[in-house]
This record gives sequence, structure tokens and C-alpha cells, in this order.
Amino acid sequence: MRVKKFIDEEEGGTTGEGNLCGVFVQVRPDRMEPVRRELTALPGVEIHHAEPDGRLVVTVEDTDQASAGETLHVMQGLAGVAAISLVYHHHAGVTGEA
Amino acid sequence: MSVTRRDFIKTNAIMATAAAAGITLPARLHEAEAAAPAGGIRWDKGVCRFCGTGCGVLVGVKDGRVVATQGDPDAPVNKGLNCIKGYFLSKIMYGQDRLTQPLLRKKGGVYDKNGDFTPVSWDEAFDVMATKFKEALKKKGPTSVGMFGSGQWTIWEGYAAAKFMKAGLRSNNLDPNARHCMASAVVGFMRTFGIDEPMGCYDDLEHADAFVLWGANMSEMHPILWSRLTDRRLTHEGCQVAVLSTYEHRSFELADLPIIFSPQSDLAIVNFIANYIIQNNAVNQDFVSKHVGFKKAITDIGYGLRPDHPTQKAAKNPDSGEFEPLDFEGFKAWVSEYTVEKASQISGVPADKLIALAKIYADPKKKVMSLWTMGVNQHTRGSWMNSNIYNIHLLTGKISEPGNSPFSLTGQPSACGTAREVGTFAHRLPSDMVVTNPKHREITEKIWQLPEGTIPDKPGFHAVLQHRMLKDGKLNAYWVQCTNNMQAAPNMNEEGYPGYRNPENFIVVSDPYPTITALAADLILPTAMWMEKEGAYGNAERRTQFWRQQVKAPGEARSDLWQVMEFSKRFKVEEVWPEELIAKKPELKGKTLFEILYANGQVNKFPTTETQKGFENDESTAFGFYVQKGLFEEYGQFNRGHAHDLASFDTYHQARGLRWPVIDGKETLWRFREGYDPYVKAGEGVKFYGKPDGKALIIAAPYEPPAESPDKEYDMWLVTGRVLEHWHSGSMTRRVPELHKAYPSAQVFMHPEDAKARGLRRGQEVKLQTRRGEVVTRVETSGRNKPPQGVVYMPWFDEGQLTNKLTLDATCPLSKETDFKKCAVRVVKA
Repeated sequence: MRVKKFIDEEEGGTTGEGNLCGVFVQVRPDRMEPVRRELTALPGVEIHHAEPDGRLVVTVEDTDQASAGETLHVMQGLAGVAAISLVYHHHAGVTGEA
Repeated sequence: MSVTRRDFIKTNAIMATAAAAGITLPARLHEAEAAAPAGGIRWDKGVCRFCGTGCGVLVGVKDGRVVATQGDPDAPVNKGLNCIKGYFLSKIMYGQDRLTQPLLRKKGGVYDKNGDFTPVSWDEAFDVMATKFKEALKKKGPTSVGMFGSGQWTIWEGYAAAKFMKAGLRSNNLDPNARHCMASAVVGFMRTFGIDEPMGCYDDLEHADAFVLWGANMSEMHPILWSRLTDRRLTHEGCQVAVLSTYEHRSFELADLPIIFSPQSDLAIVNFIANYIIQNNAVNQDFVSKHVGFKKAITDIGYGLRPDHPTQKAAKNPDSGEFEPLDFEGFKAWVSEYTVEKASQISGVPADKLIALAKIYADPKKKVMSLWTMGVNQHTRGSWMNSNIYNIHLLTGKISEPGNSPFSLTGQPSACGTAREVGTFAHRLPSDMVVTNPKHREITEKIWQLPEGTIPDKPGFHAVLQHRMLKDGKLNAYWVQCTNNMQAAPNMNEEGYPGYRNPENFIVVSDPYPTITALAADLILPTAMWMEKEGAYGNAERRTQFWRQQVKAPGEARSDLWQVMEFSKRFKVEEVWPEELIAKKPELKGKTLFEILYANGQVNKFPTTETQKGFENDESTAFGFYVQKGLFEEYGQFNRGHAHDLASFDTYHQARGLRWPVIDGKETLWRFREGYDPYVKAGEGVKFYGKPDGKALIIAAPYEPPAESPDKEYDMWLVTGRVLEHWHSGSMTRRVPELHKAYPSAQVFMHPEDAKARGLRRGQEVKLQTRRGEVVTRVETSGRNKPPQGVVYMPWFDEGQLTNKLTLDATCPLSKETDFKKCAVRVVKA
């Protein structure tokens, strides 16, 4: 019944597949290029659109290397990323969607 | 999942994100969207379950389960955005250890405080619980029973609980967890303005020229508002952001003026700014002469500790909220001692940075938004500090207009809407009224149709005092709903835990999950959460928002509202009220508290046929009337016509929330200013109508030292707080695998030199020790938080590392809110 035990069980039973997030990233304009390079290098990350003022439209998906959650965590820490907001989240699994 | 289905979902994700970001994308993506299948998901508007921002979310239901959520593009608060927690909302109700039946500690088939949790029926649970409450009432009277509630309660849950405790059981021992969070903000509002909650709103974020964060880390704790602030900073020419904190955090990424100050010294900084404004002739004389009065606070007021604590005993005027008279000249002379040199010496901030900060406020052309939360509120002088921030806005007249806004952020989704507005504090009644005022009691008793004298006239035990009274055996039957207070409250080792386990006491905890608090109780009641009930929250900008019940709760879990109302049926009025009180209204004889409080002709006025079409409403089905509507409309009598006006119940089910006061269907964005606030008459310009003379108060309050500071034995400051990925105690977010993986365990953030001096490496296991307890954690020297030397920061979300074993239960003596940001700690190898 304890959280730690639960999480171990939950994680054991979850493949982590299926998470797909639409993410709005706001970047300091002077850091746009390095942030774009670093984002592109992350697993499961695609940049779909970039505005020169620092707004990026990005999707983040689970991959074998990292879950979407872990990747978002890394994105948040990149130098020059001022804010990230999830706009859309889809996950398969609970309804048996495959 | 087929490729085409995945592509479709991805297209949706891109479209939604672009729309929220205000970006128009090429046509081919729109075409893909148009060709999309519906997917069999029912979407409806909802409100996020987490912080006080109050983001609108669309909730997708399929086959009786919430399967998806997305930021509501029509919600004015978040305009389609959500933070990382918000996006995993759909998973918070589906943790594997959801509680589905009541659990009572039993040995040999009967209740035993030292027994094991055993499943029981609701009937048995309520039988035992009623017996224990009645025993306590009979033995020691109403002050021996109590309840601890929540800024996460829906509006009607808080309202029903307030009626049950304050009128039904006639005990004011009802307090919310918002005491830990917002109480200093409330006292600040009441002292300065005479009316609670911000005058401005989130629209200020798009109008300000400068933002000053007083101790707030909005990037992690209010990410959506931070996103709006970021957008303003990046797109508005000359926009400035100043970030003040006792350690460097994520919000410093955007800071034009980063300021690290030593704990407690914000009091000196804010007084220096007031002095600078006066010395540099930046006072808005016209505004001040017309709309502002002056007072001086009584000082040396102690630290809210137990009366026998040596630090408390040393105070000259413990708990005094009294004032001495003052005028502008007096204030000018009083504040003149806060020179830049003095402020710099106390705070450790270089003089040039302090002057740069003061200039932001002093520049008449610059519109300034000040933002704060726990850094200012969780402070042994938190009530003073709130008012001190208002001082500098009032001196310059930068208030109650677009972009000029001192803004108190909130941490819980309905800290404002429920905890504050409904009156679930130990001293409060609905609509800013208080139990100590005979007129306020009279108004309340009249609306509630109760005999005069029903509501007791003394404030009950506040949050910290409740734990002390449990430990001392004076509070004996105790019900906790919708909060994880064993983990959240300070000084768990010396107060909370011994209080719950005191053999004299019977503790009931209602929760969806087996939290630390639930496991420390004697009876656990399984709770229906969030979208499993019809709800209403009120956010930090006075916005009241409703949602419909989307799904059913698992097993026998029932909402807090059902629990309170159903439990009230167990009490005959003769069992809880004295004869002479009943004699004042003989028609109440023989009735149950349920009949008196809820089946009173008002609350049960609306039939179940009026409930939301196409949606379930389990409480209304159970009681046979539209419960939520009846409670809300009765509550509405308190605030309509008293500057807190709420719209009609049905209006909120249509709207994306409305900011009170709502007059003739129109919400109010900026209070106290003519043209925006209908309570300010033509020709009045500005009127702070919460005060009888229409003037807000500038209150002189000095720097006073913290309750406990580092010394030789305990040589560092301990600052506790939150992280982006988890909400408060983590009882919901730690059950979302994605969020747990992103931030699995708490750490102690430490300066690399401090680690080196103690022979510690990054990742090493260490012990944090204070005078009250010890916690084992790991060292982080290069993470998102970078404390200066002498300070460590540790989040408290992790139930495996109970941070509040370390903290001191020192409070602001006026607000009784704990200072979780300052105590003395040492860090040693584990």
C-alpha cells in the first residue's frame, strides 16, 4: 500500500509506450540556435515550427532510451529555455488502445 | 497503434500546441485535422486539480474512464497551455492503491487504536466514528472535536463542512491546510485593505513593464503564469524581470536583475525600497493624500511557538496585531533608517542591485507587477511582509489598474474559493466575516436559519495548534479531509505524530490514497476525487470555475461532501446542543443535524431533475435533491451585495469561470478603481472600500530576526519547498509513473564548496539533522537549484524522506502560518 511499493509495481507493469506530448517551448531569442540543436539531439523530440521571437512547437514521444517525462525533464533544464508548457498529451494503455 | 492513427494524434498535438502558442501553421495540417475521426471520446470542460493558477482543462472520457486531458483553448487563464503535471492529470485517479472501502484499526473484531486496518462497511465506520465524537462532546464539550480541511475542497465541500462544524457540532476547531499556505496573505489583505484577495488579475501579466518575484519560483510552481510572463518579457520592449530568492532557481533563467538575499532580510529590502521612493521624491502625493492612511505595527511579537518555548517567552508583545498611530511624516522618519547600506548589510545584496530594484518601483512610467507566494507567506513575519509589499505599491499609486499590481499567488486550486471565501478557518465565517464579531454571527445564523447563539464566539484551534492540542490530549475526536497533513505540517516528530497516536484520540482521515496521514489515523475513509464528483474551485484571481461529474468513483469511495452530509445524520440535535439553545427554536426538537443544516428548505430546494443532463451526480442521487446547487445558492446569500458577489449557479456551468464581484453577469478585473469596479461610484476614482474611511493602510513594520538561525552546532539554513514535477506532498503526482520517473526522490541541494568542506560528493547519502529530527537524503550540487554557501534546499514531496521531521513549528504570530523556509540544520555523512 505504500507509494514506493506501488510505483515499483506500476513501473514494472508499464512499457512506457504511447505517450505523445505537444509542447510549447519558449526560448530566449539569443539562445535559439543552440537550444534547437540540443532539442533535436534528444530522443523522441521533433521541432515542427520555430518563430524567431523564441516560440517553438515541439512534440515529445516515449522512446526506448527515455520516456517522454524524462525527456521533458531534460528540456526544462537546457540553458536558454525560459519556459515549457505541455499543450497536448495522449497516452495509450488504459483503454487497451494499441 | 497503426501508423495513420499515430500520425493523426501527432497532428492533433502539433495543431493544439501551435494554437496555444499563437502560431498559424500551414494548411496541410488543418486538412489532416479535418479528416480526423472522433475516437469515441466525450470531451467536457474542467479545472486542473493542482495549484492555485486554475487552468482550464478539457477532460476526455471513454468507457467510464478519463483517458485524456488537454489545455482548454477557450480558458482565459491558460489559453490552451498546461504544465507537465496538468498533462498527466488523466492518470491521477488511477493509481493502483486507490482506496475503495473504509478501513478501521481492529483487534479481535473490534476497534483498537493499536489494531490493524481492516475493511469495514460505511455503516460500521460511521457508527464507530459517531460514538467517538459523541464521547468527546459529552466528556469535554465542543472544543474537544475538530476537523482539518483543505484548499483543495470544492466550494460546497468547504461550505458543508463549515456548517457541520461551526453550527452542527458548535466547534470552531475547523481549519484548512491553507493555513500553511495563504494565512499570511489573508492577514496582509485584511490589515492593509480590510477585504481579502487580490485587486488585480492575471491580465496584469500582459500589461506590466516590470515583474518582481519576491521569493517565488514561478517557473516551477506556477508554470503557466510564468509562460505568460515569459511571453511578455520576450515580446515587450524594455520589459524587466527581477527575481529575489534565498537561492538560485529556474526562474533566474529569465532574470534581468537576479538577487540572492539572506533568509528573513526581505523585510529590510522592502523597507529600503519605501525609503528610496520617499528620498527620491517618487511618492505619488495625490494618490497617497486621497487614498492612504498610516499606522505603525506593535513589534517584538514572538514566533507563534508554544508559550513555554524560551524564544517565545522572550517576546515583549507576543501575538500582538495592534497598531500605533502614524502619519506620512512619521512614516518617512521611521523608514529613513533603512538606508541602502543597512539593507545591504542585513541582506548581503550589493547596494547597486538594491538601488536598481528600488528604481523599478520609483519610476513613475514603469508599470510593476509584484508576485509572491510561499517565500513571503511562510515567514515568521509573513503578515508584515505582505503589507510591506503593499506599502511600496501604495506609496507610488501603482495599484488597481492594468499592469500595476501587487499579486499574491496561491498554491492550492481553491485556497481562495473555498478555504478563504467560504470561511473554513478557525476564526472565520463566509465572505470575510469572523466568529468573534456578534454581528457576523447574527448574519450567519440568520441565513442558516439557526437560533441566536449557535455559533461559538471564540476562534477555534488553528492548524499548528490542532497538532499541539492533539498531543496535549485536549482535542480528541478529529477528522482530516483532502490533505496530507502529517507530511505537510511542521515538526512532525514532536507534534503531529505524537498527536495522532495519542491513545486518548480518535483520528479519521478521508483520502483517495493511503498517505502517511491516512496510515497514521485510526479510521480511513475512501474518497471520490476530482472528476468523480461535481465541483467548483476559486483561483488566485477571484475566478470561480465549475465542472460536471465525469466518471464514477471506484468501489465504495464517496466524495467528502457525501461523507460530511451523511455523517451529520448520525447526530440528533439533543445530543450536541444544550437545551436552552434548542428552546429558542423548538421546531428543531428531535431533528438530526442533516435535517437542520441541509434539509432546511434552502439547500434541498432544487430537485434532481435540474442536475446536469448527460452527467451523473452521485451526491444528488444519494440525497434526493440537487445538493451542489442548493449549497451554492444558500452560500450566495452571504456574498451578493457585499462586494464578493457570485453569479448564479447555472451561469458557472456555462462560463469558463468568472472573477468576482460579478454584477449583472459582468465580472470585475480590477477592484477599487472607478470604471473597472462597480462598487466604486462615479467621481470616487479610487476607493479602498474594505476600510470604513475608504483608505488603504501603509503599515510600518521593521526587520526582526528569524525564530532560529544557524549556529555552531547547526551551521546551515534549511529552506524547504516544492518541485515542478510534483504537487505538494506528491500523493497524486507520485502515482503517475511519468512524473515519478522524472523526479523520483527528494534531494538536498547544496553549494559545491559546502559539500567539499564536509567531505561530501554529489549523489552521496547524507543525514540532515536539526534539533527536532533527522532525515537521510542525497546531495545534489549541480541541479536546478543552486543555493549560496550556508543554505541548503530540500523539497518535501517525498514520503520516503519526511522533510517536516526537521522543520520548526514557528509561525507568523498574526497569521499562525508556519515558516517552512528557515531553520538551522547540519549536514553530515550518512
